[in-house]
Amino acid sequence: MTSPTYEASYGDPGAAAQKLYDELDRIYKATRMGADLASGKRSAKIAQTPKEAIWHLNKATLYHYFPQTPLEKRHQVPLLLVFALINRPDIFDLRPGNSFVEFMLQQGYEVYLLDWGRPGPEDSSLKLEDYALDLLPRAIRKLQSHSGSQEFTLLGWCIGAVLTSLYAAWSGRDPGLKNLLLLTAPLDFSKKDAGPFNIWLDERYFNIDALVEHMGNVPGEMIDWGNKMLKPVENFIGNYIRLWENLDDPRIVESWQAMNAWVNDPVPFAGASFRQWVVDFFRENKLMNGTLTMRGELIDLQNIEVPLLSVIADKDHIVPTCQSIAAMDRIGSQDKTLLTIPGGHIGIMAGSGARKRTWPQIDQWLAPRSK
Amino acid sequence: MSQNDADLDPFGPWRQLRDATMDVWAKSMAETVNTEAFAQNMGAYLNTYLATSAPMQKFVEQYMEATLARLSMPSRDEVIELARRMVSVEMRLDDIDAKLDTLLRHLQTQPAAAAQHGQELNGHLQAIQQQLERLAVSTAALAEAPEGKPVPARRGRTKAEPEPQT
Repeated sequence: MTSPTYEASYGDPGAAAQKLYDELDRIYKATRMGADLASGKRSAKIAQTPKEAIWHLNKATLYHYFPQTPLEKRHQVPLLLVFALINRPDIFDLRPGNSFVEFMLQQGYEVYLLDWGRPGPEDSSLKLEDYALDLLPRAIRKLQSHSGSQEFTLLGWCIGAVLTSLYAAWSGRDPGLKNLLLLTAPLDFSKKDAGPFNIWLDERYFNIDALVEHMGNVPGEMIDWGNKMLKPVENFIGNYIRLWENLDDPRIVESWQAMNAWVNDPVPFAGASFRQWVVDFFRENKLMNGTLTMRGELIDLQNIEVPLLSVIADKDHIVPTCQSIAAMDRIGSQDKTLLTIPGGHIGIMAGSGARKRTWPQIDQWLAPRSK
Repeated sequence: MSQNDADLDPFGPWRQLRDATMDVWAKSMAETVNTEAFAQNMGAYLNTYLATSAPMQKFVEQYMEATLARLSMPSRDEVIELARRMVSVEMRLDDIDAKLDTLLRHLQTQPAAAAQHGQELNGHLQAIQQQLERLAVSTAALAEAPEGKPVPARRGRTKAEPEPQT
């Protein structure tokens, strides 16, 4: 048996020195970039796609994005995007080159976005039906008047998907609603071991009435903290380590900054809506049990008969897949598709792979149904 | 990268250690937050916060309300009430906007409806004109007929004659 040579055991000392030098250089550049970030010299601009506000009501605004394709290449049915109540809808249009809105405009859709705004103290009594059955139909009316098309497609994400489902179930056979797209829709809460939210919001531990009475609206920071606590190490530490590791790559830093700007801009949850969300949905699962009434009417998912695409994320820790899958059987549509995308709750729509994986599949499904 | 190169990365071992630690820690924390005990502690913390801050908040609110009243300024509740009224007015304006939209749509579709009515009227006029022409022919025949010879009475319409449009 021969003993190994120095080079075989420890490699070339010159190469090691070069590696050390490269690493120190990287650390130097990263530190400079970090200092720029900390001092606010570099800031991320999000939601840059040109748009116009065409309707306002209370805090809600309906935006119309300027088309990016010639009229003859455009789909006839406009698309209305509806996001959740707890974050800004800017995630639909994160940054140029990584924007779902921009992608859909390039595919020839007329895109509208309903921004719920930030509820103030005067909105603490707003309930989910005020959003789904009052503000949303009014925004739809404006969309119809603006686009000249009575037909439209609704796309809801997270709680936005719940609100659009409530609208679709309530409006029943509304001839205007042509397609319904649900992204990571939390509709079924029957599995009580599906994620920490079910335990945290249990009535034995969480006094929802006292919270809402004391605070009015639930602060966005509290909701954000709850979301981050689902994966505390990744969100509070890992996130910044990832940034540190990539500080020498301006492209990744820009992407991180954009996402960080969106994450750290939470929106308060109107008190009455939050109470309903916790009691009627998380605790009593009324929508799936068929006992949810709004404005004196039973809200039955069976009434949804339009073509439906439900997109879920296989690693979603905020809305576990079971909360969306079970609802598929309950929805009345004949033409319904469940699409599972690898990724997390936000990543499937705003991550680096969304442009290749999620968006083209949404377009493929929607294009033939937008004629 | 060869194994030797990897071994020579001066920060490699530290990174590996960090990543391994983070993974274990992340898994452990994810399990911890998904327990009844964590939920109980979080609930207790929230209840304590609400119990301690509520009296303070009430005191501050009462003090502020009294102070603002002395300064002849509206209180928070009054401003909130005003904002709610404004929202209500906005809703009514939106209702009016909706009705205007409907009216405008009707007005835009009106010329088409008028054209359709015009066509129907034209049909009626043509039918009347044909009747008049037939009447004129009959009258002329009656006038030209020799005295004492009766003009054959017409019974029903011939196939060539169109059905009058009513």
